[in-house]
Amino acid sequence: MLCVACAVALAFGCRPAIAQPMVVADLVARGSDLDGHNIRLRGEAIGDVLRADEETVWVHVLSGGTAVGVVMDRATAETIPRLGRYRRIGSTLEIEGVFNVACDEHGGDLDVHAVSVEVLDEGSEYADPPSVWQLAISMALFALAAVAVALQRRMRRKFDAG
Amino acid sequence: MWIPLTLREVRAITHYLGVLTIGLGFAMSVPLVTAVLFGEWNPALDYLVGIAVACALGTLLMLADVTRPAISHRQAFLISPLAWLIASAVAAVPLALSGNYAGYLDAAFETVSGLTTSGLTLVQDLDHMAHSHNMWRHLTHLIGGQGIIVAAVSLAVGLKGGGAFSLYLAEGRDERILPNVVHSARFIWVVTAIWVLVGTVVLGVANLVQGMAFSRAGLHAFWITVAAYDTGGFAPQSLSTMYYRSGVFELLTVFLMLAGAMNFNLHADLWRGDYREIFKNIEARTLFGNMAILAGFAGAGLAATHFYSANSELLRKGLYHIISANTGTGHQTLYAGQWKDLGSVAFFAVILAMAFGGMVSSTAGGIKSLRVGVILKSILLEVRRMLSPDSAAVRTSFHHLTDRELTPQLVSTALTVFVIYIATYLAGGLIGAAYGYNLDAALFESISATANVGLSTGITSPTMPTGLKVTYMVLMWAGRLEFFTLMALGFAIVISLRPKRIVR
Repeated sequence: MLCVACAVALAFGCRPAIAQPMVVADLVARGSDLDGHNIRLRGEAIGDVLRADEETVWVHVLSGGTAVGVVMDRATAETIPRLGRYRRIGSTLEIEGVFNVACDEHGGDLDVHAVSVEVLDEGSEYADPPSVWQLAISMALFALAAVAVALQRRMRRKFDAG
Repeated sequence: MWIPLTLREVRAITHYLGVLTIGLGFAMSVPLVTAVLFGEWNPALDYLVGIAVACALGTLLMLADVTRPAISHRQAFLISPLAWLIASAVAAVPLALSGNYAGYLDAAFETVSGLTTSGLTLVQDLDHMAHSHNMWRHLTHLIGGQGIIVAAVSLAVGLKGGGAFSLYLAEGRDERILPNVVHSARFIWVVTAIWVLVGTVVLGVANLVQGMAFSRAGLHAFWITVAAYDTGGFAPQSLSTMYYRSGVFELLTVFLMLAGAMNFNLHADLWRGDYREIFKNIEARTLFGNMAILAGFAGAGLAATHFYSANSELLRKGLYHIISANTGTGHQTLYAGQWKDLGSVAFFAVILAMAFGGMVSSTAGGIKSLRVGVILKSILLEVRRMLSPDSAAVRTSFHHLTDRELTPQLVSTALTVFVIYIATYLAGGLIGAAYGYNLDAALFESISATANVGLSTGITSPTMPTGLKVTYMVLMWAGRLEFFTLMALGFAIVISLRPKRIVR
């Protein structure tokens, strides 16, 4: 039975440590348990591409409400169509790489060193249209303030006149 | 004898609260302009509503007394806590409309945290937040760090009578810097402007080197400078300062944090070229001694856990978080969940650093190093007395701007504040524990809120119980004003709520 199980596992290329893509929040929560392991991570690319060294850069990936820094080749980072920020959903990436809970190469930061990066979704832009009711409310409040100022001036004139 | 407030006093207080509310509305023009510049039209309307609310509420409050009344000493001590409360409530309006907060309470928590320069946050999806909203979050640090009242005093907005200095004191500042209080307030803003300008340029260059686009490099540099110098702790990305992935960037923020935790009188001495003061001053010596000892403990604690394998990592992480905690800033390069991995020695070293805090008359919170220094001096004095002959008159002095004798009155005041802080830290911790959190994590969070630090073990989140959100808001507010002003407000309300005692 054991031989059969091993044969099946080998046939399907089973690698338990990276079987399912994880969200960043789970990755950070499991921290030390996964230190040094190969992991598969899925999330939205956000922010900026920041320089790590001459050949590699940092791309931050967000999922489950938590972000993590991923070190990858500059050339790979250039293939990411969108980085998430206001009015922009960044590209969804699936990253295979090595997880470090305290990376010796990068000042003890928790990070992921990417081995491969796949763009699953290009991301998109979205509108955040202004709402008319806010404009109406502010105009009404400014009118109220104007009335209060006029009233204040009138009361002060009355007070100054004795 | 407890003297209830007269109706005339209440009207004068209300009038000046209106003036300050309108001033806050003017400050919202900065994020409004930011929104327009970056084409963020919906956030622009959030700020238009915010300004309109401030103007309407402010002008209505000012109607309470149109005679431009003078402010007495006791009125000043009531205006200050109420000003912080109203400012937080009004400043929360645009954030509540932003969609980045679960509701108005969470937005109000954010503005209380921002104005008190705490840095605890309930923001959601920060990484997709509009520039204008980030601008406002960080401006609350700038306004609150320098002081809402200081801002008003420096502009001398309609303040009459000798109440300006009382207002200045009521905001948790112990001493004036220059003979004239208006000049003192303006000096605070000049020093701040210089540090913010230098910090923004230097961090901006660091961001450009890292590869950020020009506009984002500049904005992020300004926000982090303000947050670090005002010992606030907000950041425009959810990873705080870890986002920038640069040791140089972290080092630069350390200088800004230390500058922010420095007494403005020391800034004045440095400004005048008197560099010796910083080496002689009991506050500076206590603060740096405290940091060195706690950094040593944190380093040893971290080394024992073997969490970090290189000494450079121990130094970088240990020192950064001790300085961030001791200055009351709250920037962190760790995930909230990682505190448990650092071992109890490093964890409690950070707790102690937060509890002690920075210098008086600075933007930092906590017990403050002057009081810690005075208490330590008095302990040494007692030991010396025990070891001296009966006939000896043992005295001691310390240097804080001038040479001063350590009097029982000074020690008593320092101990009173010390005891109130410790009691509040513990009370907040017990409340957190009563909500089901671990006592050590709850104590960490309580001290972080009361000492206006902003480091978090993860308790502070949008999902935490409403009662705990309100508790931390009160702790941040009380800690920023150093309790006595708040107590004065509480007693004034209680003794004045009996209608027959109000003198018309």
